[in-house]
Amino acid sequence: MSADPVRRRLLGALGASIGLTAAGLPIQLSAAGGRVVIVGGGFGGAAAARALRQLSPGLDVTLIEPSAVFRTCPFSNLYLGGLRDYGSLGHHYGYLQGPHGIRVVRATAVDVDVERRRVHLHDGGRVPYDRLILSPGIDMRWDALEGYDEAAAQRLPHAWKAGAQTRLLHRQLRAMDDGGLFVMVIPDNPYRCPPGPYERAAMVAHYCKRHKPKSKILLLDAKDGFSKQALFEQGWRDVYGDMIEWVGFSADGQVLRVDADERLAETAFGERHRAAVMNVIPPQQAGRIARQARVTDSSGWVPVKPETFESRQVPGIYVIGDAAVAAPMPKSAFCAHAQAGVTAAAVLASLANRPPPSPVWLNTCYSLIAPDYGISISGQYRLRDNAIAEVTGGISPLEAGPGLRQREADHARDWYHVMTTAIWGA
Amino acid sequence: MRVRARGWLCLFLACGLAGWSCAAPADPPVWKAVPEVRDWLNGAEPQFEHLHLDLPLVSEEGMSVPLAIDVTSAMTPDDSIVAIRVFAAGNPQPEVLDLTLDPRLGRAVFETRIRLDESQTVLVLARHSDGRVFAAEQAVRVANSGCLARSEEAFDAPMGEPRVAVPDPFPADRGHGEVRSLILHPMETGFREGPDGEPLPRRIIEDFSVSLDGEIVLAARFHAAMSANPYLAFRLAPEQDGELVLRWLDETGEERSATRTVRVVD
Ligand SMILES: Cc1cc2nc3c(=O)[nH]c(=O)nc-3n(C[C@H](O)[C@H](O)[C@H](O)COP(=O)(O)OP(=O)(O)OC[C@H]3O[C@@H](n4cnc5c(N)ncnc54)[C@H](O)[C@@H]3O)c2cc1C
Repeated sequence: MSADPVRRRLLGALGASIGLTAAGLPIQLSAAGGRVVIVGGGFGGAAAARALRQLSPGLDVTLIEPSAVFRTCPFSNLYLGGLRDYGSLGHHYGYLQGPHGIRVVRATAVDVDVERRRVHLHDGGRVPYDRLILSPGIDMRWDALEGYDEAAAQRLPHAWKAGAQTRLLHRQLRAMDDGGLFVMVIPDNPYRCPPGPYERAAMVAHYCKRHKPKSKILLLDAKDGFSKQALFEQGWRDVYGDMIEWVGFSADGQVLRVDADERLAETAFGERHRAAVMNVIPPQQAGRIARQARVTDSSGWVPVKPETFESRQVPGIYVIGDAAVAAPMPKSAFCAHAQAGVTAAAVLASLANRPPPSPVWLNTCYSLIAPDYGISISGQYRLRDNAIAEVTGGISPLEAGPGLRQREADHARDWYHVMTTAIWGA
Repeated sequence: MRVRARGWLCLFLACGLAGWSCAAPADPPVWKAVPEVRDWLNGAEPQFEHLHLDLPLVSEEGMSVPLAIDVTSAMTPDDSIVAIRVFAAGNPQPEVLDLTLDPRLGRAVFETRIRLDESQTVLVLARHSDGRVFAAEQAVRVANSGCLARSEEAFDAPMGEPRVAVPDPFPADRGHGEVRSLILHPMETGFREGPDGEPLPRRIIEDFSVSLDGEIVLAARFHAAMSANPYLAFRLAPEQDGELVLRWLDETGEERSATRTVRVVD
């Protein structure tokens, strides 16, 4: 298959984020007797568990995660577009628990006793740790957008955590009349997956083009610009004509209030948009357990030491993935995975009383405009002056033929397969 | 930054050679270090109180950083904030925004969007009618992310139609409401190159004013560090129905204005 070299290259790149940092580490770290506990079995947490056992096969690793099946946000837009079924987004923890020797505890962590180094579970259980890794992802800020609370999200889904919300938005889109207006409310930075809303717009358009050709998609954005903007706008136009309209901050795109009963969004300068389906992506913050563990700052996110992602506020707690302030790295699954590798090595080094290896992180964000039309942006990150800096990067060219777009769409599918297999697979 | 690092080193060596024991030299506070700030202070020493400022700790996009300013004040004629200055010492020019306030605003509360060239400290000063100066400052880390890189801002766009949102009606009894304003304008800094590699000529809106029934209640000077399409939200506490006129004047002499009817609850 022609995808094989691509697969191999991707696997190489993924491996690099773990492998590079493993250089120079003692193999038998388990002798240090460390117990590492991880909260969150998503991209960051599950990848950290795998990396730890890979680097130190005997290590005592516990993963705390309430769901039996993890649903990925990556490719959930493809499900909305009708390119994939819901089942394909699910991944279970069987391989982590069995062959990979990770203790998976199906529970929600509700608190962290920092003094005694124990994680409290919802059922009263206590899990002691020597090092703790949190990768809880995001929580919505229910106080940030007037009219948008948990109840409103049942009518105006965010679908920004994959699961019931994604299914709800899928149902609403399928039930929408032809000619119905699909409105998406998009927040200011920082938020999970910077290109995500714009890929979603394309996938909703892909579905509408075939089933609801009279419908329109209106994006109301609190920002004046966004990731891969020129590429997205070109792709939208080429594939969907004028079906997608983007309204940025300066064109009165910032929504200040929503009315769930009326499916209404009101902007800063008083424009009122009534939708047939409204997808509200609200401002976000680190997952609740990060606040419980007192590692968040006033921004609601977690400041970390860049070389290890250990909390700046609480020693012994490492925070990776979307919850951490890793800018200029984006909040992506690819980054969460890269951070997992670096932090796993740093945790092992710390248990062995050695300095952490010097980190390198990679990222590539693929987005699909159509099944055969992919675009991407990549970056490589290192430490500069004790801060994370982007050292190289690349973005799909604006001038490109269908061949390249097709290959990038294939790469996106390969990436998903390789990434989810590396984390949850055999 | 490099200059400062070298200065540090020199000092350090000097200490070592002379055999002194000296602590690491702390950077002087922004209000002492920046000449434009010292000029405006004119000998006054700012008090770091009564002024609250809201800025992101980390900005992933320096071109448009939201800034909110809230100075505690009753805004009565003999107990009010008369002027506010915003400085970004790490920008090529430290001035960002100058505001001249009238008590009829009701509150000294503002929101805007500014440009930060690099990680730095933003300083806001507010002068009270009795001569005291209040201050607040905050460090912002600018981590421009290639992943968020937007299309280049337009550079030859004309000044567009203004947008203004006014509460209708305003609350009674000197209750204040928020007025929001925005105008499409490139706010070309003069530090940017065009597609031909030549520097783009500077062109910014310099003056913005708000008058209520013919009297100015807010006057502003925008500097190049205001974001493109400058946005300013402020409070207004009208006592009776009236007419509000907002006016933007750019340095080419082009002008735009917007007129809104003001209604107050009976
Ligand atoms: C629509 C959409 C599309 C996206 N597409 C892409 C893409 O194509 N590529 C890409 O790289 N990224 C993409 N992302 C971003 C990606 O989903 C996130 O960046 C990634 O999931 C972050 O990983 P994480 O480990 O921080 O959080 P998550 O993956 O969300 O994992 C968090 C886990 O922690 C668990 N948890 C939370 N709190 C607790 C607790 N108290 N106790 C126990 N467990 C807990 C949760 O149940 C969850 O399983 C997309 C996001 C969205 C919304």
